[in-house]
Amino acid sequence: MSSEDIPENLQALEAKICKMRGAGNNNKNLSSSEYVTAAGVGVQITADLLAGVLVGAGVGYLLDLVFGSRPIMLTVFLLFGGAAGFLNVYRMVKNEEKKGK
Amino acid sequence: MSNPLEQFNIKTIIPIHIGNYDISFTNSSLFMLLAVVACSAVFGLCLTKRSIVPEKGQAFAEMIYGFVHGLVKNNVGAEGLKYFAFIFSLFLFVAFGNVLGLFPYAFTFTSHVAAVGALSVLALLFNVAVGIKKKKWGYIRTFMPKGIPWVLAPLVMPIETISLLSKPFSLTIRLVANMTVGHIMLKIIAGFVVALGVAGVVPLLFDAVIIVFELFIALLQAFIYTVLSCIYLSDAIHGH
Repeated sequence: MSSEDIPENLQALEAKICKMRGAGNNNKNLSSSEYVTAAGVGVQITADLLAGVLVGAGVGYLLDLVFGSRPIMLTVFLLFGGAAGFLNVYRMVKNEEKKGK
Repeated sequence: MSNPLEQFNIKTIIPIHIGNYDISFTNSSLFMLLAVVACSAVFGLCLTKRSIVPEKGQAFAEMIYGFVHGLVKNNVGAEGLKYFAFIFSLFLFVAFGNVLGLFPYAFTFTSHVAAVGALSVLALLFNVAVGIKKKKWGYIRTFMPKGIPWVLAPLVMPIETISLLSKPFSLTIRLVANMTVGHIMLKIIAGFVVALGVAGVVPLLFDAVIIVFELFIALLQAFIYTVLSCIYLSDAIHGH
């Protein structure tokens, strides 16, 4: 169907819809699937940060059991774990950026 | 109102004890078995009549295959296609586990940290094995990336190690949290249906909407689980 086949009032309506859509969401035109992907990235970041700290604490606790040095290793590895979580998030965001380009 | 957490209880079906270990066949094992049987059956039935121009069933099976194939190719590269069988099995197992869990009276094994955690650790070990096979001793460099001064080694190595070890955790937490929350929500709202009598139509409708959403989440989480496994595999093959 070429554009000439569409009656004029319909064309006017479409222009109007386009205009209103543009006014409605001026912050980019994200489709619903893109919203879901963005939400997924958010959840992923949360899980990464949490997992880093948890694993760090676990490793520290085990090392403490082995060396009998409670709470030194736990404290140190808790910090390492936090850093690892941030590292994972940093890498993931960098990957996302690469994909976006 | 019945306990919304009751659905996650593990029940022994066939008790098996070897030494001090309890390896009983439980409802969790039953549904894992069902997931495997179901996806074998679906693919078996869909692909009985193989033709060049596919019919509905064959087209469905080929669509899933093509989807995961594209996923591996995009995230790992052509090199990763060697490990396609593993990723494909992972995707089907998680997807069927999630979807089977949505049926009434079904048990969702993907809502248990023990089950998903073991799967994630398996995936991590597989990736490490692939990395070691590819780079031999060079794999150790994963824990000490190039361009970092040796003075920082005691700081960077534990961080990199924890970063690697935390991957299966973040995979597990996300899948388990999503499945558990969805199922608890469904059960609580379903409890209102009985409690409210005639007005229970409202939560019933709400539940109907949520179950469609849960079906979407079930497939989406299987997809995300697969994508992340692909990314970890790509890390193992290409380095960071």
